[in-house]
Amino acid sequence: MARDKLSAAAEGHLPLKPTDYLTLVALSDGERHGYGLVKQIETLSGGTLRLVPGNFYSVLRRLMNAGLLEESTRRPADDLDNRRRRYYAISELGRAVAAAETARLKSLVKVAEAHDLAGGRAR
Amino acid sequence: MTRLYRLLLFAYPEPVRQTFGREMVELFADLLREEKRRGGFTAAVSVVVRTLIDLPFSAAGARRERLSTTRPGDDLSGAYRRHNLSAANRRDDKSGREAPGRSPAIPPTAPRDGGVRGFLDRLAQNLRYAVHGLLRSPGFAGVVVFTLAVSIGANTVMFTVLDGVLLSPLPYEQPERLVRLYTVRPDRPDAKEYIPGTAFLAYREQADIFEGLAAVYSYRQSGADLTNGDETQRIVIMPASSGLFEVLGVEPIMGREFLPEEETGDANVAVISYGLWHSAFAGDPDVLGKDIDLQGVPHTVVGVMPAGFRNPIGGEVDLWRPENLQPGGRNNWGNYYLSAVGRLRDGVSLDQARARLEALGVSMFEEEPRTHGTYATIYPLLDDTVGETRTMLWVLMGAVGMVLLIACVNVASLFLVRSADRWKELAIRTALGAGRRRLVGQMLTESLLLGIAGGVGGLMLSFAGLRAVLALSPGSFPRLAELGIDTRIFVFTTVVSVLTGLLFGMAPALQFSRPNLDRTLRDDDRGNSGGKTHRRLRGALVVAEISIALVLLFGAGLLAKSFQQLVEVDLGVETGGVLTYEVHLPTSRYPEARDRIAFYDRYFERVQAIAGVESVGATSYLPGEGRYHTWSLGRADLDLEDDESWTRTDVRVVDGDYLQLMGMELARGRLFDSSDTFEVFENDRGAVLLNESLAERAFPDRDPLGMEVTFGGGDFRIVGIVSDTAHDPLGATSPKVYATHDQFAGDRNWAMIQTLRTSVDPLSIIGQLRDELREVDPQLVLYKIRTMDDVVARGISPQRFSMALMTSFAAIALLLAAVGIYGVLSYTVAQRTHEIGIRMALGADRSTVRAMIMRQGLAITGLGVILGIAGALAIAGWMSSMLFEVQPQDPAVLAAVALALGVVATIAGYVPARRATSVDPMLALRKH
Repeated sequence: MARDKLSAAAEGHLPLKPTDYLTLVALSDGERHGYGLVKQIETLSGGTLRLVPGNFYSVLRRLMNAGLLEESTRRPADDLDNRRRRYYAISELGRAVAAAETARLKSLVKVAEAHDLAGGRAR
Repeated sequence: MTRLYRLLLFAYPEPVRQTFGREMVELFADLLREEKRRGGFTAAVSVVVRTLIDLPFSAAGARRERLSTTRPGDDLSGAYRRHNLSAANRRDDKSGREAPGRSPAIPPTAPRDGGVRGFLDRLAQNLRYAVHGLLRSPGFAGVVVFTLAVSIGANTVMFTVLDGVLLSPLPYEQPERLVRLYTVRPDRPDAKEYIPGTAFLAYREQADIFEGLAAVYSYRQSGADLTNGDETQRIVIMPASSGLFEVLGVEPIMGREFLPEEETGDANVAVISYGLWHSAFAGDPDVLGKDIDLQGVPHTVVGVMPAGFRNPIGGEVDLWRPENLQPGGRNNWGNYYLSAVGRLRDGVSLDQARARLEALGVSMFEEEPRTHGTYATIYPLLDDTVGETRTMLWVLMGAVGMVLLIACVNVASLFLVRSADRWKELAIRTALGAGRRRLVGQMLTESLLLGIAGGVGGLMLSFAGLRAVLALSPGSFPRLAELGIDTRIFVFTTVVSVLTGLLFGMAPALQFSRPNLDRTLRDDDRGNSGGKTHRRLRGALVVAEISIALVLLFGAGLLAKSFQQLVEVDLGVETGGVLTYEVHLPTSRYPEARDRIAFYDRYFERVQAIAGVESVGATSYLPGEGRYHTWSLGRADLDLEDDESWTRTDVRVVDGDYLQLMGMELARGRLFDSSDTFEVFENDRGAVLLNESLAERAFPDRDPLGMEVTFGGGDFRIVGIVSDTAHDPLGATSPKVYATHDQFAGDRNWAMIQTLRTSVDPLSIIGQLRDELREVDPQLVLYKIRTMDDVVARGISPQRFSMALMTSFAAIALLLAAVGIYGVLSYTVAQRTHEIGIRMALGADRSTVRAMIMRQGLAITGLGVILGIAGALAIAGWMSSMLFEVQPQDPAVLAAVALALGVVATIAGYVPARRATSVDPMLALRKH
């Protein structure tokens, strides 16, 4: 029941902007601080998405307001940096939204493949 | 950089700053550091640029977001709701899954309500349009921002320098009333001399002219050893009269200044600078009354000057001590040695004071024939401090003003081109119902956005530029070290440039008040370029740009040629590989001439043994640093009572192999050798060498070799003649007589400047020099280490400074002019694509088309060059005082810069011309 409710809520957030999607994906394997997150998003996007503080924190605010991610209270043990950094983690809802978006994208890709559009030959 | 970003964060609303501000700054710093490490400078710049471009975007977004969250009762559009309300809330509001959050990609075109929110909505939308529009034409945006940044940066730096050095008053009370006194002779009122002590006392009595008058012995301003416990420190001391600080209107922060009764020569009291108070006494609050050891003589500290107090004449000073002003001794009518600074009585003008001083001189001459009719004259202290650099700075300011002019012209022409480009876009939007206000608002936003970006870039460049200027300029440049960025000029230049952009950027939007939509939309390229007037205007702007650039290039060329001449001046010395430094022997421990001679003997032996040292010597004063110790030398074979028997000459005391290692040549006779001992001088006569100038001047009638002369109370025999050396960077020489320290050490404790010639990098052996000095006497300090090359370079550093600045300005001007030509021709090509297509379809070949475009470029360039030459010749005269052996109308320089400009302009024009020929006729025709 709770699960249904969650996925229903997740549907309401679709479709996600690519940046939001990548942000959620970047957090899927554990919490990160701001800089780590920016770098991870850059890596995941193959270097094409390079955020700067302004737009990065807009994304963060948006996702936090929507309840898709939250501030983490836990700090990874291997963080030797003694600055008091804030860590961000994906919320349960965020995970569900990311999963739903992935499913949505997958189905789109299937449609495209059926029309022989995948693989770059656009003619 | 990070600090700047922290400031920029104020664009974001308060809550966002509170929550994320610190983190954003940290992230920015991290990104900057990381990118710099990985990709170097350009990568870091890219971070900055991306951040700046994003800033108005995300800030506007954040502000809108905030408005909508603080006013939950409002009817929010789906877009805002999606961003701000939690998913659960929304599901309660709306039914089920009907994609409630789906928002249009672009915010609604029309504002939904008025007031603050409507305004912010429009602003955000305008910003968004502007950013998108500019990103679509990055070339335009980039060039405008670059142009603005460079001119704003250059102007800010230059005005900061000008203002700091020339315009801002001296850091004293009512500085406009401060004057410096000089002695002048009736027959040579422009030759400024120092003031004899006796005359100073008389001038100080003139209460109707001066509210106060004080003197410093700046001629003698010199080093001294301050011993504090075990530590000996070399400091700069300045003998001063009583009342110096009162005249300047600056009070000591502790204690007092000197009293008239301390002007006796035996009052061992001292006032110390704030810096010395901290370096030698660690800011001890009980320093007053403490004894300090100056050259072995105990002095009592009676005062401490405030931080930032600047000694008015003679550079930085660590300690002042009272000068002996009692008549007699060195205070006689024939000894011109004091520098006096006075405060004019309120209401007394410069001219009145000058007239009274001149009259005073006349009446003094009646009583005292030894004044020889000399009198005092005054100059405003500021003029005196700034002196020669005044013209140079104004010329440079003029140059940088021209850069601003070019920048404005460039911005204007760029906006004209762009607005013509957008004619159709604007027409379409008008047709779709966009109001004139709306269009104007958008243009305004765009211009402002570019202006802000240019301003930020300009500010960054100013900081970098000012640092470069400070690095470039020598300490000899008066008052430069005190500078900080001048905000007024930054704001001024930014506003001027942005207004230019606005003016030309808005023109098209305004013209749409009665647009002929139908025609514009239907018409082809001929219609929308704004017609011939537009094109002519753009051409004229570029012509202006080129002519201004030529004037600047010409100025830079003149300075470069002049500097080249300066560098090539033969100073009569070989400076390469020569190291100089100073070691001072305290008289308390080296009281006798023999002690000092013995010290140098031992020390030279040790230094000579250091690997890489070829020869060692010392002199009382280096070449190229001005005249010093100008004494009178008398011929013993003539009647010494007769003034004609005496010649003014610079006395130099040398030691070791100084003459050889400086590359001076022996014309006749011999150099000093081991036979020239102190005993010989005591019992018989010393040996001296004359330089050729002195030999000619003092002995026009006969060979000076073997002749006897007297100076400084000693008797000497001339043993040789050596070549001349220059005492200033322009190659001026003066009569000089050389005595050897081995014989003349008894005259005084000479402050000898050590020199050595090395076969290795001179600076690499400093450590060893220190070690050897410690071995001989552990209390001595080795200081003021310079290569001889530096000594000479420092002499011409003002010229180097002006040349470097002028050249950078000219380079900027050239670049901007090239951009201007390129812009106009590119635009022409784009406009005439259709026509070119037809021509080529009808058989015109590529070279014809290329020539057609190039011709337009050449016409513009040619006209600009001709006007520029006229302008350059008209104003070149202003620069004559800055030039050395170059005529201000030098035709070679003029031809060279005209050619250079022509070449650059041709290249800038060739690129678009080439593009024109690559037009595919079919494509060009089909497009319409």
